[in-house]
Amino acid sequence: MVKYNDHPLYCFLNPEEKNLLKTIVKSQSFMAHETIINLGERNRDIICLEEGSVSIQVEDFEGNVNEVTRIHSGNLVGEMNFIIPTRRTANVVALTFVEADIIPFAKLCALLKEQPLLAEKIFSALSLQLRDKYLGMINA
Amino acid sequence: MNIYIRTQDSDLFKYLSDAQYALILAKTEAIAFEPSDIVLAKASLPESFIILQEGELELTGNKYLGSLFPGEYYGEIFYLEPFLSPITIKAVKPSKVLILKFSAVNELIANDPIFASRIQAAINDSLCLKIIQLTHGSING
Repeated sequence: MVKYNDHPLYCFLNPEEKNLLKTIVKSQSFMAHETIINLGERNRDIICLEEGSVSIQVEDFEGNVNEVTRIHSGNLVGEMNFIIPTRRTANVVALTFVEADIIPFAKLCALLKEQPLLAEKIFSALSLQLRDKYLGMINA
Repeated sequence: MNIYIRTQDSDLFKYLSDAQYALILAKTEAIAFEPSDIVLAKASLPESFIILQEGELELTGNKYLGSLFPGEYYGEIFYLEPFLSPITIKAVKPSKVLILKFSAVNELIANDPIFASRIQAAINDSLCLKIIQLTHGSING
């Protein structure tokens, strides 16, 4: 499989496949401090951070907000929720102006069902992201 | 994974049809391990999936990283881009393992994106579960 670039989701897609995916992608901007994802939501969209940084935050039992990590442009948010059906497990808040590609869960599933080669390439890209997350945890 | 339905018990083959499962199973090699035998050595270059059929395997790196039970597998992190293993896998019970070379998988899925996407979807499920297990492990100490 040819890797065209280092994009977290589009890295294996040729220009035609990228255009096909773009038909379902919604580009959205967020201002600093704006909430992008709320803890507990059932939304399973994948979010590609094209520009800016976000804070991943959880609340403790007393309601104090704790930052778990920060994610910067060139990375995905919510990819595990796309694969495993759970509620959102953290709040995601923009730290800066954020430009994001939002890939809607239902539309992506429908497209991937129709396009197995696209599915293979998207799943492979997700696999590299998950691998890096796993390696980061075992090496911590 | 959301677009496929599980049809097989084995985690790596869970989304394959019976015909695909038979094809890929024919490419595996069964190996028996005794307790404390090393199944995968740290710093070795993995070339295969390790699919546990019977027994129990333990994963360790700088710390205990979890266990594999029958039906589970390891090797997915090395599949797309192989690199030296940061972990050791050791048998803790008499164990039967199926070895499936990455090259054998690649031969089967070449020009068959349906087969390939189903294997890749199973790999992603497994990676998510391993991340969740590590997260729970760190929360619970």
